[in-house]
Amino acid sequence: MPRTDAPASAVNLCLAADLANVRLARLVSVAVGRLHGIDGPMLDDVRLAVGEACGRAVLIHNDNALPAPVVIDIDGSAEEFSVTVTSQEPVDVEQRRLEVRGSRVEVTANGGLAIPETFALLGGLADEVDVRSDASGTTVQMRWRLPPPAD
Amino acid sequence: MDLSLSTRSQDDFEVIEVSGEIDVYTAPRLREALVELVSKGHHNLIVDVERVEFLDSTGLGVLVGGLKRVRSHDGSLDIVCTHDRLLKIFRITGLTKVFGIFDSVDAAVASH
Repeated sequence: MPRTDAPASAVNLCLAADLANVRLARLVSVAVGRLHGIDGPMLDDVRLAVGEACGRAVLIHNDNALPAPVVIDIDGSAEEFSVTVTSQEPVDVEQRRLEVRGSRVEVTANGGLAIPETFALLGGLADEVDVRSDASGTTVQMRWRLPPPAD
Repeated sequence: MDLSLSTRSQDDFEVIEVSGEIDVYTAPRLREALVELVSKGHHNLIVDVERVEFLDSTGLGVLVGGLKRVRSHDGSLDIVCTHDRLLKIFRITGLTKVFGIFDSVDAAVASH
């Protein structure tokens, strides 16, 4: 049950692009989710979605030999919990296409990405998934709506 | 939590019991185990994930890869899983129609 006194907290993680760190991102996201009263199947969804998004970002950084960290922003309020994963792979926006480990991703006119199969699982786990890409990289934001607190 | 693997034989099947977390970091070890079994001529596999705490799409990919390998030898790869948190991932990805998913190793063996 969501806590009415849930902190309007923000946690920012900058993780080296090491596959072992994906688990750390999962653990922290779950811990912050619990602070916001998330439990049960929704917490499982958060754990898996963060793992998927971070794993994708780390693999892309590794493939491109990017020294920059993968950035995870975890935020929440009484109404919503969100996790944003930012990778910094080079994206040729002019070509309007991005190859992600063999999966073609369409870059839409507004800079957003059409949901490809790569993100199909995320779409089934979070209430909302927003994937945006620009010249500096790709941001995957996942949001979960929290149920109102019981009277 | 790390990944642990153990293998045993039951009837004509090789049963791989997996515990821990199957993710982008640990999944290669499961892939190696499946490849090794197939290379040794074991083409009827049962992967028991009852003690798996976490499974992501990389792990699913390894299982699908294993299924493709055994099918190329007219073999099979079934899954033993009763946990909703894992079954949900199979459902979302449509893999419930690809794998035989059973409540127990005995049920998986009996299905053949």
